[in-house]
Amino acid sequence: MKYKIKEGVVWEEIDGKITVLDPKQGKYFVLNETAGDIWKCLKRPMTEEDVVKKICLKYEKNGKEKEMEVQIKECLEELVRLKLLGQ
Amino acid sequence: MVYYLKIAGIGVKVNCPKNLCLFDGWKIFFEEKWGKPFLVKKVKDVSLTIYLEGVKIKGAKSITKTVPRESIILPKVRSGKIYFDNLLNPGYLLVLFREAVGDFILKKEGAIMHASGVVINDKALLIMGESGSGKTTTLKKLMGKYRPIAEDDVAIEVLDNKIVASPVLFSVKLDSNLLVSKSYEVGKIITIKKNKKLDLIKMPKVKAFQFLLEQSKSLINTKSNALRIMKFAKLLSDKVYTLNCQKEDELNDIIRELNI
Repeated sequence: MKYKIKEGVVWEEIDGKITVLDPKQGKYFVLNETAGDIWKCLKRPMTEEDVVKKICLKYEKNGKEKEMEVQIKECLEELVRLKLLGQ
Repeated sequence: MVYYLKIAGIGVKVNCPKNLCLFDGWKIFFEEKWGKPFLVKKVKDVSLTIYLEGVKIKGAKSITKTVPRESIILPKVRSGKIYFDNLLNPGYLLVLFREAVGDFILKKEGAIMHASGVVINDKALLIMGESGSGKTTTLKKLMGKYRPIAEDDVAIEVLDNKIVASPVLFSVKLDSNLLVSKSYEVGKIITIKKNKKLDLIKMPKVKAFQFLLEQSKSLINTKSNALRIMKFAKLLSDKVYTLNCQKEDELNDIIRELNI
């Protein structure tokens, strides 16, 4: 199952900070560093496993995938809950 | 009767039939403005045509048989008739106009943002803040010395690699004749905070970007609109300052002192 940015949702990166704007909800969200990195991975639809791999590579946490996995999963779920991501 | 207007650089043709005893206020409104900055004798390139059709029932406070076209969104449609119950107030028509012009500005790759502002040394000083934060009050204080460019909404565009602001429309709260009639490069954007210590502090880029989004949040309703507002919020994010001052009365002095 792949996660993808919901149709209509737009975002911008300023000085490394990602701001996501959903015109449907009329809301914008400022992502923290980890969420921002996850978001950038999802420029194209991606599975949770692939997101974990990519983030671990970035943070040089090879071998600590399990630990990261929990954090990333929570973050993805939160972004789905906020209606910014779909599956 | 055909009226030509120039709004935010856009040539607008307003087709207004004779039988439309156009909500008297609106008619007076047009006539009063004839030859003034927004109402021009003729527009070379008409970009937007607005048709106003209908008749006012004598003695009644509503207008029936009104068929608008091209981007004019109507308030109420009942039994095939469109009712402009509130339209006797020309201010309401301005709202419809704003939407039509707003759509066009979007097509021109521009955006409408919430701000009031004046022109100082050939540059636009925009004032932003929450609703009720005193944008109009501040504007009125500054108008003793500077000409206003916006009262609530302003059109933002990129022209010759410069970010420029243009007056969007007739102002509801101000006499529209007072507004400047051309575009000016955006100099600074300020938001005013009541504070004993007088100073002008540049807002960090990320905070400024979010501030600009927050200010124009209510104008964001489609993806293309959202992208445009984001683009301009990013471009303008290094021009935002917080002006700490105690009294708005001192603004004219402050502007001189802080070299705004």
